[in-house]
Amino acid sequence: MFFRRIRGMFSNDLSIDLGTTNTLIYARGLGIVLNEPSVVAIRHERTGGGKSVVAVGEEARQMLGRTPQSITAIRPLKDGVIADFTVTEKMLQYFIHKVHESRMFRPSPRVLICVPCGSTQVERRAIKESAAGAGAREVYLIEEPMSAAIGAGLMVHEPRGCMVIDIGGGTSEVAVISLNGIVYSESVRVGGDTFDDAIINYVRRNYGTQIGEVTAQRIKHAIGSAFPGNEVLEIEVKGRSLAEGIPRSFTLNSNEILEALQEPLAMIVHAVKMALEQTPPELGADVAERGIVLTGGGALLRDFDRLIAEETGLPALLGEDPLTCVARGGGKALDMLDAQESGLFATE
Amino acid sequence: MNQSDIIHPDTDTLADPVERPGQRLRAERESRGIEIERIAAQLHLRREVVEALEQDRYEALPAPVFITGYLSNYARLLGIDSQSIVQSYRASLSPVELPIPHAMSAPPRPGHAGGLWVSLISLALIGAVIAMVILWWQDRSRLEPGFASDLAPSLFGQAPPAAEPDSGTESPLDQTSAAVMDPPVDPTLEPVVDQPPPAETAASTAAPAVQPVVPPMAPATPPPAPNQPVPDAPSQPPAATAQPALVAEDAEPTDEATSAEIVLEFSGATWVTVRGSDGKVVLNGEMRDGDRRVLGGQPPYKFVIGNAAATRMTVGGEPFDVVNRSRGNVARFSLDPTVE
Repeated sequence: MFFRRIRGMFSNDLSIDLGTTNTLIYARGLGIVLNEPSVVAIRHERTGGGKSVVAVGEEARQMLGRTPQSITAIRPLKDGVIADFTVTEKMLQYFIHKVHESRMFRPSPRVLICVPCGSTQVERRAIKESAAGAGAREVYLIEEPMSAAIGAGLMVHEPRGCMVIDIGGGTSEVAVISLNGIVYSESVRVGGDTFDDAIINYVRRNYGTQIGEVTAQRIKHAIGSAFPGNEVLEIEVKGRSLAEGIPRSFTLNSNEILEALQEPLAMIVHAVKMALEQTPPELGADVAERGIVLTGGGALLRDFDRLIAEETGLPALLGEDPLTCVARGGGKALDMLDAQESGLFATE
Repeated sequence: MNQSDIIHPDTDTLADPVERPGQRLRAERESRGIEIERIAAQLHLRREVVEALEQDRYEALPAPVFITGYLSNYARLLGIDSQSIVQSYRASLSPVELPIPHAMSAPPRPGHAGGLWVSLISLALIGAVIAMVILWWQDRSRLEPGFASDLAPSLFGQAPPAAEPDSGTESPLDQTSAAVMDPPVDPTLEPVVDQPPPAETAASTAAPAVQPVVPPMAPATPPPAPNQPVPDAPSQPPAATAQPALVAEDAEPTDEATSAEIVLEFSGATWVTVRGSDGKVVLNGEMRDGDRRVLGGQPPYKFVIGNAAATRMTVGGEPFDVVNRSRGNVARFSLDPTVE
């Protein structure tokens, strides 16, 4: 314990947005120091059935779907919570070490990790244990929407309601926050990954062609939108024809993708409407007055804010740099850690 | 932008090189002939909010994140570059205006003191250890100018005998090179001894430092008196008992000052440790009133005398001031009577 403290003097406090798709690390005083996919490539040894980590992060992501038999590239998190405990621990260890490069001591930072507000006690404990196993001196948990709201610059301490929608890779969180606490929160297991799956399914159904996750993601980034726009964008895609079994190329346009995304988008809109319904009237009035703030990588889907605005009839706006909102918010919460604003932090 | 200047001459009078975002949005809207109510309806905002936006009255609006969002939505609605609008808003925002969340400036609660204390105590402990090491080091180097000679016998055990153990603060490597190039001792590094005979100097410097057996001075000293047993023999450590012959007690009052012989006379109880050049114990033990010792062994000697006031020391017949070299009545010093 004592040595961890000494090592801790040589470590930066970290705020980690341990997401299904991406892991972001904010180091106190340094800003965002790491933004890598939450992917680990594992080699299965031929003898003894042992496993070893081949690559982590961006390097491992490029292996997704392109690995030989002995290697599997996996995402250790699913729906915002840990699916593979040991691999998550290895991944965290790698990331923590990476941001402390060129230090002679093994880092032992204080770590703040964001958890989905819908996560169970077991899932939270798994995240805590995993971070402790990766070398963290102390582990704090914060609920993602709270962190996202702080990161977006909302005045969470005011006695006024504000609504945040955080669309992550695996989950979307809708929360109403007032006085440093979450008044209402709802977590739906729909996120950027769901959008990709929806696109894959759409292409298979309508074009009889199989595309991979990476291609689906590329389509989403290039022409995906949540609300019908004035212009129609197109993209050329290559996939394997299910009938012929050979790769062929075809063209997709933004209206098709909008159609493909209808189902997951409707689920998020439903969650927002539910939240507005459940919010106490005073806070609901505050939200109606000022608007809903969107954060998370999923919010970067074109015209997502317009969709929310049109569906709810309330102002909806995109937070600044939505991808890093949660990690930055965690960083600000770390500063409050010393000021003992313990109300901010989630209990296990 | 002439149009906007005509519409709002007052807002532009301030020396503001950055074009105000609200002003630009309003000019754009009016150029298209769109009513403000329609904009407000499309943005789902109240008319007053849109007016405040257009007049750049940010104090009437909520947190900056909302203003940025409203401006960007407004710009998109009009089909102009929202990025530039937001940037000009940020430029107009002075850093003082940035809100500091209340929580950040909140004073720490007393309950937090626990963690703080532990880190303070651990820092203090580390500091104390470092301070102790520094003090010990300084103490050692100050009281024993020739402390490097401690290391010399072991370091130069296998080295050529030309190695001089008395070169003071030089590092062992430097010592070797210096000794090879310049074998005579540097007298400035040694405590000055009153009258060391020159003949003896030459003899003992030439003698190898690691010579373990008979010291060159031994023949000069009178033979130990057989009738008087060494009184401190039982209290000596094994190292000292290994060479009892070197500790000689002289019963005769006659002065044998033919060489740089060191005689210790005690007028009270004291403990004494004297080590020779190779670290061997020459004299060790508790002395009583009236005891007298003549040192054998190889110079230079290292003395530790517990009761300096009760000790009288002569070097080659000349009195040597022990009290002057003591601190708190304990004297620690090195002495080589063969060096001037």
